Amino acid sequence: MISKNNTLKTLLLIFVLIIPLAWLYLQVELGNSRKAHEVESLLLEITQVETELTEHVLKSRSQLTLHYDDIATSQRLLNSLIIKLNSLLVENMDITSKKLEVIDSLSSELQYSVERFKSINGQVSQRLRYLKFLSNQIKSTIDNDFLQVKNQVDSTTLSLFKSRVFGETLFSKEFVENLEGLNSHAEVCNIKSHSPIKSFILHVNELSALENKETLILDTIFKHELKNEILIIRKELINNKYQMVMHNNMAQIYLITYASVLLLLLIFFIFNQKRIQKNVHKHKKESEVDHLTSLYNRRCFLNDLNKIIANSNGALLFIDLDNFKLVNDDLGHNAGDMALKIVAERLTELVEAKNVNFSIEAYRLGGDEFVILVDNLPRDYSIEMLSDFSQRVVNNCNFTLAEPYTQYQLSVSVGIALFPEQGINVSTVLNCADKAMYHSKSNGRNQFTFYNNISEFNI
Amino acid sequence: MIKNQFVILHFFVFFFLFLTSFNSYGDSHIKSFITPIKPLKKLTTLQHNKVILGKVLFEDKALSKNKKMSCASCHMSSKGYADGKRFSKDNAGVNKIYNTPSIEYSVYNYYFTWTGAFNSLYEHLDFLMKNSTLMNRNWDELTQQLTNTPIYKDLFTKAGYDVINRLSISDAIINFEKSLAKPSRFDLYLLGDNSQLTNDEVSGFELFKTSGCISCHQGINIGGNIRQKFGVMKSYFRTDTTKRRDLGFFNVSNKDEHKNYFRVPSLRNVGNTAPYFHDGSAATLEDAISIMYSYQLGIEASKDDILSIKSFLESLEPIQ
Repeated sequence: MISKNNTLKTLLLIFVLIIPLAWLYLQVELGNSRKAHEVESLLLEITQVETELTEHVLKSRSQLTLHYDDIATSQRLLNSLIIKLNSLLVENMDITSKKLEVIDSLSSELQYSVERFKSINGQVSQRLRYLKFLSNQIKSTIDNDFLQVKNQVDSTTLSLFKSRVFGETLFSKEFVENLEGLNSHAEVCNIKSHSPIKSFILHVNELSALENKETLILDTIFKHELKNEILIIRKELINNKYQMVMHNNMAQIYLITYASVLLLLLIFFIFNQKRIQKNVHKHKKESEVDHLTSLYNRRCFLNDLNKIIANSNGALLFIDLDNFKLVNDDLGHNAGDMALKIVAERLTELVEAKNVNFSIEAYRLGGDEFVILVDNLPRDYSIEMLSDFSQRVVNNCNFTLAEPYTQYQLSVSVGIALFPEQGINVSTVLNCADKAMYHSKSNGRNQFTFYNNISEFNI
Repeated sequence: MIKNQFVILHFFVFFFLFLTSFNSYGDSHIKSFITPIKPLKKLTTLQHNKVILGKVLFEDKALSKNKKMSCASCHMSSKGYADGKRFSKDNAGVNKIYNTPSIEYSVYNYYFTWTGAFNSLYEHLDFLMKNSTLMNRNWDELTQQLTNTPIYKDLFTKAGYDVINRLSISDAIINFEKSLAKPSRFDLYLLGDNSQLTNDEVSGFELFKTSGCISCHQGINIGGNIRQKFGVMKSYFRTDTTKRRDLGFFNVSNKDEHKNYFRVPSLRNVGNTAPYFHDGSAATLEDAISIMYSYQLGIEASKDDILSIKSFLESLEPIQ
């Protein structure tokens, strides 16, 4: 029952200690993954907008309809997304904030080239329209003799538009021939259409130069690093998730606080445990020892006897001081206590001498009553061994008090009971020993008596 | 037999009707496809109270530091939200560097100011407010002042703003600016109502497209979404008298390729916002058209062409 309760308590304690840690972990993990998710979705959106932007640019390039409004919308969106990303990343996450500058500069580069594209594309479209205007002018002013010129102008304009819409190469053989033909005809034909033809050729050349420029800018727009960079950052975001958890300042503070609190608790527990153990030991000792004589007390004796009486061979030497009452009454308590101390000392000497082949222990039962518990008697022990020992006890405890009370002679009467011969009950055995001791007293004190012997007498 | 013929006749009649209806729809559709100009519709999602608050703020001279200037000092509603002068005076009475552009349709622009230095109205408004030659205010001070004015407290609450700060003030003014953009007859024409434009105006629009004006003046705002060089065909600025303002976007970006690059302005309501160009060098619309023709398109325009284009441009006036 007790052990079950203990395990329950420990489980509860562990549970209580783990809860804040789990909560903290979840909080950090959730917060980070939410943030990472936000950043990731923003990055995704940026790539999307970038794709749309390039799409619109392509449309503007290949169609005669202009899509600057769509481009501007995408540009605006890209701007706002970059600002959003800025504000999101500035809060924390120092890993990606370095990368942020890269994205910032890349996107402004992209914006810059898109702007250049717009102005050049506007010029190209204007030239195209102007060339159509010029070709109409040429056709209206030229003489009917120069039908070839009309055809050449028409086919040049057509190939210009074709190259625009279908992406055909501009400088085909036919196109160059047409231009050369036009050039030679310009010298010959009438003055009125002379200058339009000249400016037509000039503008075709200029247009092709502009288109080359446009293609270059388109290349820079399409081969832009923004997408790749974003891909790299997204990969890093996933890889660095763990590091991000550790880099989160709040998490660090929480973790350190929690760990230190836990550590303090642990140290306190260990020290407390040691102190308690010490105290318990001390109290136990105190509860088993008699203060005056430093012998074990009655309680300890009963415990010990209870332990060994059932399954051991042993004997009980019940010792009572003779004339103690006299000493106590005549000389006062101090002298009585001194006498008791002397008896205890002598008994202890006997016990500590250990020149017998069985274990012995001395106890004070209270008043002037002492007990020596004999245990682990060898199987083939003889009564003589015990009586020899008892004689030593009696002899040892026969003494005269120190100055100035030398007239007082102190001695002991000992009663011996054996167990399990006299019984395996504590009170029975004690009773027997008591009886044997009284027998010694009535026989003239300063001697020992075996209970076995008096029972014979009595019978 | 007769009944059968009747049915077939009916069939043909309906088929014809179907075709014509498709044609009229397709006509406007194709028109808007070929034309890089998209029709403008009035914004109906604006909140009335915000617009009212914006209007009050726009016209309040207490917004400037010396209490002598409001937004409306240079953007007058009677002059198409420009001020009709070549250069406006700043708060010290000195001429500004650039001509004051109309802000009537600025919501649809991608670039703001003549050089196109700004991409957002919010930032541009911030610039104007802090500019020491104009409103010369910092936002904290202004917020404090407006908070202590009881009328504004009511107006802001009615408009649905919890607090008076830079964000809400700017938002209200921008909402007012949004409410200014109104459709013109030309927009209705683009939407399919052919009766809105006269023959002269339609031919002017055709000329506008074929001569190449539309390459830059396109989109919903007929301009305002790209930067272009002033003087594509030949240099507009004489080297001996070139001023700093003539460098255009170069002043902002410091890149040589941006010299003489300006934002292409919107042509909406252009008839009411003379004088024209960043330096106000064209006093009338005819001048502006002929300058554009010769320097941007490389064509020496005839008087008829100019008048034709002008008649088209005047159809861009908003309908009241």
